[in-house]
Amino acid sequence: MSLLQIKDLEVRFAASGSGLFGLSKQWVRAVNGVSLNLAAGETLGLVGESGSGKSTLGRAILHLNPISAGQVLFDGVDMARGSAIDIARLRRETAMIFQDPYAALNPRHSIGETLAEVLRVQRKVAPQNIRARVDELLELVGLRPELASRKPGSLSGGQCQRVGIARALAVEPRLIVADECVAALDVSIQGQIINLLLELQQRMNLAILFIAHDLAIVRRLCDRVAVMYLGKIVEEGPVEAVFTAPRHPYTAALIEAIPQIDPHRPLPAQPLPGEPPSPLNLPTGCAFHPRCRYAQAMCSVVLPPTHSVHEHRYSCVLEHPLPLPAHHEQGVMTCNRAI
Amino acid sequence: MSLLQVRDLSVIADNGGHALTLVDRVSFDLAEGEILGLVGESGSGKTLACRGLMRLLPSPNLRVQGGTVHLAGQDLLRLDEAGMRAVRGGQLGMIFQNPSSHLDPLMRIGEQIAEGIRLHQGASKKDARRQAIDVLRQVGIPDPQARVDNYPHEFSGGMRQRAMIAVALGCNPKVLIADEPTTALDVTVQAQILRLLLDLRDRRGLSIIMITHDLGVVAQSCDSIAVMYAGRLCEHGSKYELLAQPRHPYTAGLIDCQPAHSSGHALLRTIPGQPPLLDALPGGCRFNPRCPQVGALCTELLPEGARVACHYPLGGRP
Repeated sequence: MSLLQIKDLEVRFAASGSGLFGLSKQWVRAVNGVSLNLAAGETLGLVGESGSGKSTLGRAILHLNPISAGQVLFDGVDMARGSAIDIARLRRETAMIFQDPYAALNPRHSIGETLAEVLRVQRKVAPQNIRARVDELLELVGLRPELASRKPGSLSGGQCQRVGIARALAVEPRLIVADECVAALDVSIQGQIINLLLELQQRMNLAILFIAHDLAIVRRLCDRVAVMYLGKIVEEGPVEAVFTAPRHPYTAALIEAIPQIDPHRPLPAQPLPGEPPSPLNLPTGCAFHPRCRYAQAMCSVVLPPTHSVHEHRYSCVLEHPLPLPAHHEQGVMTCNRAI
Repeated sequence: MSLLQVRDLSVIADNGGHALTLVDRVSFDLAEGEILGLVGESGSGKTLACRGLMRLLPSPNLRVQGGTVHLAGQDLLRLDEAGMRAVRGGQLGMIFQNPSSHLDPLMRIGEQIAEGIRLHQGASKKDARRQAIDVLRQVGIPDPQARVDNYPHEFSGGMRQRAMIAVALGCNPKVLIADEPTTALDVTVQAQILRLLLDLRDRRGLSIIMITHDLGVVAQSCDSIAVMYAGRLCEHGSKYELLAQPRHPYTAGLIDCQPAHSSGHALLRTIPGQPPLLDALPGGCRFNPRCPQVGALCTELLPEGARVACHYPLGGRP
């Protein structure tokens, strides 16, 4: 059974209008009927443009956002209707890593205090063992234990992100939601953090929901990928299947737009036009149809059907894989360097 | 002769007595219609070098020291402030990473474009507005006649970046400095903006310096690449030679640590350690503590060289 099962999850926010005096209340459907599964030890990448609802979904899973409808089953228990005891258990078994490592750490606490606080609150180890466990956690993420007395301000961005990961690991979680956790880091440091996550995941059998806009990293790190557009999952499946034979035109456009370090490959001559429309005013039918180069008359009227090919799901009227430029199908690194 | 010639440009920070060299003797050329990618990690000095050549340093503690910056034969570092102001926003335009914080939220988009046109070209109000509409059309804003009267908050992120490009283009600059112009944007919008910059180059012969940390962006849109590390230029060449056969170990490392478009859960290659602090630079080559192939000279002598600043460059002959 899956560690995490999400069924028809909806998260709505009131946008404007109070509902009083005849002002109609407007709702933003940030997450609009999402169903997903995540098994223990599995890494699921969640990608999409900004405003697609991927962070809201990640937070709703951890009960950090209110759930408007649907179910989030963690270990078989529905957290949407969970009691305080259930939620407390969720807090002990899940953790989140944030995008901005400086903003996510208390600047007035030393990183040792930050880690000790989690251990104390969640009663993970006996008080006399907290010190030793903090050292252990720091070593686990590749930091020297002497750094425990330092404050975040005197650490580099990469070091702070390692502290953020150590804090997430302090609860010995079974599920981690990592929200754009390498987006703010330099390339040379990004690789170090990705490698750390890969190693820890294999060692601890962690399930990771990896929210990112960088598709190249997702392809490298994740087992499966889900593509989100305006609150809905438009395509989901094993990473290789989705990246080599995308079925949804939005996925194909995202893959095509990944800048690759191949000097011989030009920019797409006709990049995907426009930007996602406001979630306050969703297009009718398929939400992607105003930007879609394959749109047909019916797309603006009916919701697209969901097709399944093996473990690959997608919601589109098209029934065949979409063509990609040749270098994508090869799935090979494009820069043939000779040293 | 090249349009822009930068020679030995240094930027110094005065910190109460002791001076810190943030940008150390940077030299490069930019030809007409060329797009140069200036690549480096945060703190490598790529933005400061460009702000230095525009004499637009963000703090009074910073100053340009030595060197020359020739734009169309004129040394910018010898101009007086009034002369420099005519160049900035005239022949030399700049756009930034975050358009929201560089557009005036209380001023209509059209007025922000027209302001520069009136200031630099002495155009009438009516004429400046007509030109503003024209330049909005050139940067791909739909319905520019109506959009010219919008405020920045009425534009989406990608449209705001287009609007900022329009402000910079208002006075027909020869050189556009683009500081991380697509970093804050989604990949699909990033592709649109890069496409626009390339089209502007083709249509107007605009030269562009693109400051970025993303080698993928550089590979797709630039002609030549200059790589900076800890305040110094370490490699400079055409994108074809530099990406296919990097000579500096740092460039090679940067290319290797891209999450390559290959699959599988193999570990990524990385550059160990982190960039040095500029007040505690290692002796010799600044990259030597992280370099996989340190030789005898590397800890002794700062390497020089226009194509590659390395004592033992990759791929044979120096």
